[in-house]
Amino acid sequence: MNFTPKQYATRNEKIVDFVLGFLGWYLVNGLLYTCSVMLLGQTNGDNWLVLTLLGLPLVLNIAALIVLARLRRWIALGALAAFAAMLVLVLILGILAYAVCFNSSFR
Amino acid sequence: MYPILFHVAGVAIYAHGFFLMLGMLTGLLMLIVEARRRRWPKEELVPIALAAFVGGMIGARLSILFFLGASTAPVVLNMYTLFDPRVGPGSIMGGLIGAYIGGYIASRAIGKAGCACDAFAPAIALGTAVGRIGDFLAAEDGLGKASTLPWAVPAPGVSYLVHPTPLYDAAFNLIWFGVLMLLRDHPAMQNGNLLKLGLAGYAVFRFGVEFVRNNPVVALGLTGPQIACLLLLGALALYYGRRLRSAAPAAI
Repeated sequence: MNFTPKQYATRNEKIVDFVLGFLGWYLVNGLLYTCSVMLLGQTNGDNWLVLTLLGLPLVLNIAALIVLARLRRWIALGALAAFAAMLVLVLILGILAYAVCFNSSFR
Repeated sequence: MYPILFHVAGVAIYAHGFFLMLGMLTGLLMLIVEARRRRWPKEELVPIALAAFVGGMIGARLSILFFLGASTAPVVLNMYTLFDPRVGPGSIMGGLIGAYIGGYIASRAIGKAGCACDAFAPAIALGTAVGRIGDFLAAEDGLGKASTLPWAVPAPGVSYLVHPTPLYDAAFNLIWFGVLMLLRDHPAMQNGNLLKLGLAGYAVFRFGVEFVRNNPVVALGLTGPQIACLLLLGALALYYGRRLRSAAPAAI
C-alpha cells in the first residue's frame, strides 16, 4: 500500500481521479446500501446490531473522504461532489415533498 | 399558516422546501460574491464549500439524535435517509457545527495556509434569514410558546396565540448579516474571526430564543440546542483564551 500523497503532474490525472471518485462514490454506496438492506432484513427489532449496521455507511464515507483527501485529493473531491450532488437533488425534491426540519414520525 | 406556497401544473410547491432551497441559493450567491471580493481562489473555495455543505447536512441530521433523543437513532444514523426529502434536513445548529468541521478538515487537507472562511459568515446569516421564512409558513414545531405580545400569531392545533420564533430568527439573522457586513473589513475580523463572531452571535441569540420555542428539555432545564450553544460558546472562549495567553508577554 502506498500512503504517500499523490502529486498530480497533469490536468488529465486530476480529471481521471475526479471521475473515479464521482462514479466510485455511487458504486460503493450502491453496494453498501444493498448490503445494509439485505443484512437489516435478517435482523429483528431495534438493537445495537441494527444501529451499527445503519451507522456503518456514514462512518465509512466520512473516514474514506478524510483518508482520500490526504492521499488522492482529486478522488476525494470527486466523491465529495457526488455526495453533494445527491444532497442538492434532495433539496430540489424537498420543494415537492412536505417536510419540516425533522419529521420525527418518519420510519 | 401556508405550508403550500402555490401550485405549478397541479403540483404543490411546499413552503419549507422552497425557502430552504432559496436560503441555500442566497447563501451560496453571497459566498461567491464575498469570496471573489476577498480574492479567494476557486481551487480552495470549491473543495472547502463542498465539504462545508456535506458536513453541514450530516451535522444537521446527526444533531437530531442529541436534540430529540435515542428514539430517532434508526433514522438519524442511516446515512441513506439523508437522501429522502420526506425526512427533512435536521437542525441548523448541528448544520453550522458540521459545516465548520467539514470546512476545517477540507482546508487542512488542501494545505491551506491561514483562513479565508470569513467569507462564510455573512452568507450563513443571510441564508438562514431566508430559510426561516419557510419554517414560519410551515408552522414548524408549532412556532413557539404561548404569548400575549402584540405580534403573537395563531398556530395550527392550538386555540391561543404563540411566539412567531422563526420570524425572530429571520429578523435576528437579517440584522446580524448587516453587522457582519459592516465588520467584514475590520483588521481584527480576519483569519476566521468574523466567522467565529458570526457563529457566537447566533449561538447567544439562539440560546435566548429557545426559551420561547417548543423544543424538549434535555438536561438542566435546557433544550438540546441550548446545550449545543453553550458548548459552542465554551469552545470559542477556550480558543480565544488560549490565543490571548500565548500572545501575552511572558511574566518577569
